[in-house]
Amino acid sequence: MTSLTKQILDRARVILVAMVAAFVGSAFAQGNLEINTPTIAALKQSMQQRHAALAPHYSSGAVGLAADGTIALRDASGVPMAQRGQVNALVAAENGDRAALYREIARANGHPEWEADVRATFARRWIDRAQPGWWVQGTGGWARK
Amino acid sequence: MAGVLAGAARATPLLEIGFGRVVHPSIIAEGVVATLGAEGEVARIFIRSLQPEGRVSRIADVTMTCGRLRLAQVIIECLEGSLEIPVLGERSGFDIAFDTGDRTGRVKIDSPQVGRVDLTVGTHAILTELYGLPLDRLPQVFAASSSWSPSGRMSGRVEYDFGPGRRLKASIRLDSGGFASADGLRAAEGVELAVDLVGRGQARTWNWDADIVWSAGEAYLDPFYLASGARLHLAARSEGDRVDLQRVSLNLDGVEEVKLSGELDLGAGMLRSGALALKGADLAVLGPSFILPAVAPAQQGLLTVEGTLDLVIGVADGTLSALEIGLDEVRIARSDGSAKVGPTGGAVAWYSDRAGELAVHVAGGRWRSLDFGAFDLRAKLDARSVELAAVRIPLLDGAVVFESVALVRGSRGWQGGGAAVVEPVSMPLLSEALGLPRMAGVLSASIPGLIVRPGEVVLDGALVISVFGGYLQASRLHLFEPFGRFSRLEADIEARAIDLTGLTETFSFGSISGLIDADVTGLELVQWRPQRFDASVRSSPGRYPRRISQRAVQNISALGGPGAALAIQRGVLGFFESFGYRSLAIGCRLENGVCTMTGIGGSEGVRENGSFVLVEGGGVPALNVIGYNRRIDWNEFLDRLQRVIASNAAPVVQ
Repeated sequence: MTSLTKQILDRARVILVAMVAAFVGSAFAQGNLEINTPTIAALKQSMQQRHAALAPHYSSGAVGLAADGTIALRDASGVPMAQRGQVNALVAAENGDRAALYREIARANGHPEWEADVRATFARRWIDRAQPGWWVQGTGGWARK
Repeated sequence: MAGVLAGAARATPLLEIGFGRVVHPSIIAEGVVATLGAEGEVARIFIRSLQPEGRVSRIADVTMTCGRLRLAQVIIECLEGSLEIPVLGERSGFDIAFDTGDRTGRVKIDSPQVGRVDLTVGTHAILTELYGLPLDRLPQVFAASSSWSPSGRMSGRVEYDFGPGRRLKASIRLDSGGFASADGLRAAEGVELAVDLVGRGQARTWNWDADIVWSAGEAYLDPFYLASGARLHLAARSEGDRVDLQRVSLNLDGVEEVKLSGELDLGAGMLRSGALALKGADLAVLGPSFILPAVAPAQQGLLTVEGTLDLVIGVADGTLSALEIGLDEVRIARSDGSAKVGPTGGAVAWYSDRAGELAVHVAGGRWRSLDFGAFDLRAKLDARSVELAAVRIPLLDGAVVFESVALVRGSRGWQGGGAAVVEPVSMPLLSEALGLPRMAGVLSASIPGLIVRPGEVVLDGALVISVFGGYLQASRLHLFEPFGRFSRLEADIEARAIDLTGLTETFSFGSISGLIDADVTGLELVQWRPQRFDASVRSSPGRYPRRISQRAVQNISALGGPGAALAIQRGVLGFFESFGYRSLAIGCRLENGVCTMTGIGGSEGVRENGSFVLVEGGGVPALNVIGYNRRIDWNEFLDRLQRVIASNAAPVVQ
């Protein structure tokens, strides 16, 4: 195979991958993130109920909104030592619900393979909607909004 | 030269001597300038750089000033002096006596802020005595400790013999100690700690023996919360950054024995290789503190664990390499009583570089109201896969059997598959266990295609219940998030030729003779409660006796709600015990908590005025039950059904 042929094939491969990515992206863009199912409703309700317990930790900066759509115990120093485990359990439970929510929304759209896209979109959405003073994770690391 | 100088005041010093570099086995001083009899002071020694041996930061610009100075042959005494180290911030009281002949001496440093340090330098040893040394100053000396914000006060003595057989002996006590990483995920407060340490050096190697007693305080090492009460004995050998942990034993509440061995890399701050062994760990004690935070952090407070655990954790090249678990009388239960497993005993051995196995005996358990019997669980384990041997889990008088189940752990979770069979379970026992009226029949299932995907289990096959003379078959079974709090089951159900006489008598619904067929498509259960389905129940085709009792008529009309009506005068109804009927049907499409009802003919049978026929009469007198209210709240419908079933009193017909 000549180097010119190889270059042409490489270029064609790149174009093909880009086209597939664009197609998948545009397909996901048509997905319904607001879709509602009983499971989604139950998950949202569960997260809503937990929010009251998490909100003070968002405000204090103990818990932040991570770039991957989860939340993280990023600075526990303001939480009494004996309660850090409980906050950790809250964070784990919330992340469990969030992971289930992303999967369920992708499934409800009939495309389980969209889970990563749903997660990424929700990650941006959580961060956009975070209250001023909450800690969010961006490309440069953690920052106070 | 011999003499004493005190309070001298001269414009120019009597003497000024500079040393480029002074070397002692335990310390190196550079840029040393000794000034004698300068203006306003007796003597001053300035050291541009002081570098103690070990991991201590270089100390710059140390100034020692003497209030009284005695010089006698080889003796130098600097008394009532002061010591100024800029990095520590304030002056300290300072006395020094040094014999330049045999290079022995003593140093005393005393400061209200920094505490007191007595240093005695012998020909072959240095003794350091500490009195309330504040650890929050430690980062100024040990730069590496700055990210840990140490606190507390340290007292004790450290004796370092730097003769041919090097020896270090330390007895240190920490009061109100603590530390905190920047993110607070590793921290301790109020720590009282006693450390007794002996080290023996040979060439570049040190052998260590240490006893550490933690008597007060608390710590959080994410995700573990630890309270005081532990006692640790350590025997180790070190060379440079490498520490060979030869024997570490820990006395911990709830554990018979904890041992650790391995190789630490202090430079990299990691355990390169090693093994942690726990023997006789009481899970009731360790479960909430160590097991659940690590294994199921979201389930803390929701699960209880008890029993005894033996555990060996192996580390190689800084990663987990082996896990050996011994279980004895282990019970795991959900705190709300909805599920429990155990007692369980057996062993699990997993290795990253070779095959392991799992062999566990489960003496029984309960899932919701169903008890299951004893079974043996055996599996071959590889680094990222599990191959389960056939397992038969007794359930009432039948069993659930899993065959050829193999799972692989991928980046998104476990996936794989196998097959499952439910050996016949008698419905009388099952209905009783589920708190339902006693029903005759048998439940069985054949699932040749059991598929496991992350967050999803697909049961490709059919579950069949032969009941009330007919059968009920569930297919297209999908279980989503099986271990989540909001597990969801999807299925289609088909029922054929169900004998209404047995069904209605069993559920105290009055009496209806005849047969029915039913189809439920798109059934969706969340937390085992119906959330969505499209159901239709109707008379089976064919010739058979069809009669409906007065009470059943009333119950059907009651289910239809206030809008339901009998197309016959109630006065006439009272004269007859039962009525002939031609056909009956009821349909319900459940969505968003609302059941949209239909009758005979389904949607097409709904009349223009929205009414629908539930029972079409036959014979004389002709009786029709007609529903008018198509949209019924599902919970309200269930309440009505329960009221109807619960009401065993004979219907009152007016």
